[in-house]
Amino acid sequence: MPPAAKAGLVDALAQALDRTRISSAACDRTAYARDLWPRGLIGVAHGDVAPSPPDVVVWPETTAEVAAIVKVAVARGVPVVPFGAGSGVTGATWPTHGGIMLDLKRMNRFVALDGDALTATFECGIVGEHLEHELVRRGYTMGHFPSSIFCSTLGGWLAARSAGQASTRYGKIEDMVQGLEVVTGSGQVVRTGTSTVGPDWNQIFVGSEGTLGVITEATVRIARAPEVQLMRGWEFARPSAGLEAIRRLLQRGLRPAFVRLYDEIDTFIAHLGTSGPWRGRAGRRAPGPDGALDELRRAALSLAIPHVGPLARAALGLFDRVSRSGCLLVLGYEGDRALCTAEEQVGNAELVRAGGRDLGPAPGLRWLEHRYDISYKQSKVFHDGAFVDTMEVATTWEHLLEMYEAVKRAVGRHAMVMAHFSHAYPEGCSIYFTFVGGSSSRREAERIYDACWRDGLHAALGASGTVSHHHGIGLSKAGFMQEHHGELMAMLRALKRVLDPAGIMNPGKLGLP
Amino acid sequence: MSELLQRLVATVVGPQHVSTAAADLADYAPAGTPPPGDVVVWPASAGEIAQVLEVAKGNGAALLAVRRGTRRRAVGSTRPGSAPRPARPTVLVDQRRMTSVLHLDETSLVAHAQAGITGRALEEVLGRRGLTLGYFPLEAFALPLGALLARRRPELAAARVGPIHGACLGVSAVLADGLVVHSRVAPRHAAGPDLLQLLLGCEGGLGIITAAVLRVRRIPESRTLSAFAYPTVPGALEAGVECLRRGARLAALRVYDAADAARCLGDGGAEGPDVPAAGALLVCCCAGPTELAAAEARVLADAAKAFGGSDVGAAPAEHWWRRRTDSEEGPAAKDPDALVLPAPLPALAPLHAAVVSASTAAHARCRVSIARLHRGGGCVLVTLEGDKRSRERAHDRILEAAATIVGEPCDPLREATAALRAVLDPGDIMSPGSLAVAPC
Repeated sequence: MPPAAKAGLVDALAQALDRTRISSAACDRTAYARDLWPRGLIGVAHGDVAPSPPDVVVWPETTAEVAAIVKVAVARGVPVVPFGAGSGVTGATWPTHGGIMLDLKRMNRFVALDGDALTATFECGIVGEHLEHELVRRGYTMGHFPSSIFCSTLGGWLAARSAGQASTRYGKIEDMVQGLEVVTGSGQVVRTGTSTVGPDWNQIFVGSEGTLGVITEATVRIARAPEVQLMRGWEFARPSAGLEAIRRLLQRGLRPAFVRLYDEIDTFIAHLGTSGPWRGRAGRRAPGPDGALDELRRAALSLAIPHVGPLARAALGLFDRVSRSGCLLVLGYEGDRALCTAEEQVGNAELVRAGGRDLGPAPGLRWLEHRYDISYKQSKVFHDGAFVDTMEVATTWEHLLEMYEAVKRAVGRHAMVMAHFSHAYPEGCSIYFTFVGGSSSRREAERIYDACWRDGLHAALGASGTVSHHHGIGLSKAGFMQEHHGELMAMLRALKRVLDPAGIMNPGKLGLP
Repeated sequence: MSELLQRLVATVVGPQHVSTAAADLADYAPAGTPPPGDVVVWPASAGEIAQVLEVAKGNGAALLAVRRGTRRRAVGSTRPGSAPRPARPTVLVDQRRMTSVLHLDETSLVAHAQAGITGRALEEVLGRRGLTLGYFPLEAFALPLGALLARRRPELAAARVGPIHGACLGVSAVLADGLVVHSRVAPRHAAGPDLLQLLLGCEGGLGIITAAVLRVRRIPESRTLSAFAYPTVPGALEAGVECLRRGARLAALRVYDAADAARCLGDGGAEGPDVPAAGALLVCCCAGPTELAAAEARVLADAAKAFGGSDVGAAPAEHWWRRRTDSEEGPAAKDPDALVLPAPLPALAPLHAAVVSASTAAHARCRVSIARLHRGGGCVLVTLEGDKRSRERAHDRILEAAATIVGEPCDPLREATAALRAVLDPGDIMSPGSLAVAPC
């Protein structure tokens, strides 16, 4: 940020909100200098803990304060970066141009619930876990369960087009949003509601990652708390067989809440993470719950050894057992008891017809119990000098296997890669690739990391896929926006000019200036 | 100017596909009003539309996407006859030759078709493959896809999908600068704002939709129809809505008041339903795998009884279903004294009460159904009866009441929409006068 813009900024902001909620202290600036983008975590492992600190951090409590802050920023030409809980994995909240970090977590109030319309309204700084608690104690659910639910906010979900683990039944966040309150880049407060004429503004602000404005409040669709949850595991010989079963099941009109098919490697890793009765094709008793992470770490460290071919080592150390593990499908229904029971009955018959082996409820219940664990254990991988990241892309069923093979091949040239298929819809599905690699040198690790993304996303786009299904774009995929949207990017640039004429809102993200 | 434009446009599409004849132009105007343009062109592709656009720009003319045959309204107008006639020459673009199904992906259940194909023609192609767009009101199928998607039409909704534009996964469009754009087709994405939503509902003002990719579905393997009588309309409505709230994915449901039930279901070979004089009839279709459809029918029956309904057998529902699939959806859809009033779910009961009250106050009789229900809303369908003056009075009072309860069509960011148009179309070439509505 230019010194001229910086001078007097805190004093100017103090006209908008109480001075106790403004900080330019080094510790706060350091704390807000990055999110959980794994490329940044490589740097952290090498001592670079604050790659991109903001100049000032503010904690507004009302929409009026947010509007006043934005107006100060417009007047002084200072960037504004909206911030939720910092769990993003794309660098979307990195204040690369300095400026004001606008943390919304003090705007965390439950506003209203309409049981007739099945909608609820919250301020956007509310953390996901708290939001769900507010609904559950009133007999409802949002049905949105991202693995980051303990450390992400409603505003973050909306800004990044988030998906939860039950998206097949409840939809992604964009399917749930009914109305927004937004402070645009000019400081104007607007309410989107349901447009009956012109653009659907809900869907324009959702996914905008703070580049068009600050989402301060949202009304979302909710559902009655489920009467029942029916979980079950299935085993398929190959991913293609499992995918065909899922496709047929959804296209017959069934709507399970949870659908997760793990490929052979991911099944093997997931299997190591279980201690339940399922032994899989390999017939081995699984080790303890941290086994999966230990295995990941071993694989990552193996890949990081510089003088041995990584794939050869992986093949020696891991893949000899993988081919026998089959593919695990976790499937679960939730909602009305009578409807779910009927759905499960129809679904089970379909899965058996497709060659699935019924593993009973245990794998499903086990997954349900541990479904938030894995994200909080990745730091061990980075601590050991390796990296782990996930690439979530989606396409229609027609192209799904082609995309799976293409991305696996492309990323597999640089790192160990596994995948599971989740967020399934009647017309297609998302693939969640996990890749692990590393090097003892930061520069080399970043080169490998960048190569994984570059080649993986080109492969996904080449196979008619998307650059992202639910993590968003941020910095990590900004360079792929043009390829994803083609000439439609002209419309996004036009939106930016209209809603953020001063160009202060989260600059450098989404492939925008 | 018209002749010059005609000659220039003819070099793009061929002379047989452009006209300045009054008879041809009249097809695009409300009866008794002047045509909305000077030249009509029937292009065969998005590329031709882009070239016609260049011709129009080069000659200071505007471009207006229209559909032919109704003599009622242009795509770009928000109310019948409300689109102001541009002060400059205008080229009308009718995509009636663009009717190809470009790709039918039976693996993913998506259909890619040009914008000139009607829903009915597309439904015929799909039906031969055991597929369907879904249980939308039949009037949706009369429109070409381009017209269907150029306006948001909350009244054209299906129980499982909601309004029809929710079935759209992607479009191709011609923008004002002549670019032909294609949105990436995917089940969902997280690649920034959903830019597709700038083109859907934009009335041709931000771009002319030339093709669309739509979700389709398999024709359900079984169907269960049921009907329940209620002492009151709100009771019947609440029972139907309760099913939606419980998560039942009903294929279609409708509430008739006693007068509408007697009129619509009381003839045609089926026995008239046994509905109390001031009561209502709830008819419902559950469709899908046999066991699931049966389970949904049981949920419906439970809710029906809990809200005071009595099972009157399947005959009225079967009659409803025949009417629904064999013809337009009852008299409300085509009667000049009919009103179609979309509303969110919680507003349907108050709106129904307001309709009855306004009709009574105007000394008109009315028959009412509540249909096209989905988890976001539904429609109150009103047919007015009585002398002309009473009907007109009731018509106006009902619209006033609906505006109070539901609100007028609006754009919450009208200024931003206008600014966006100015950025994307600085010459105001595309459908001038479109998107001109009040802010919310």
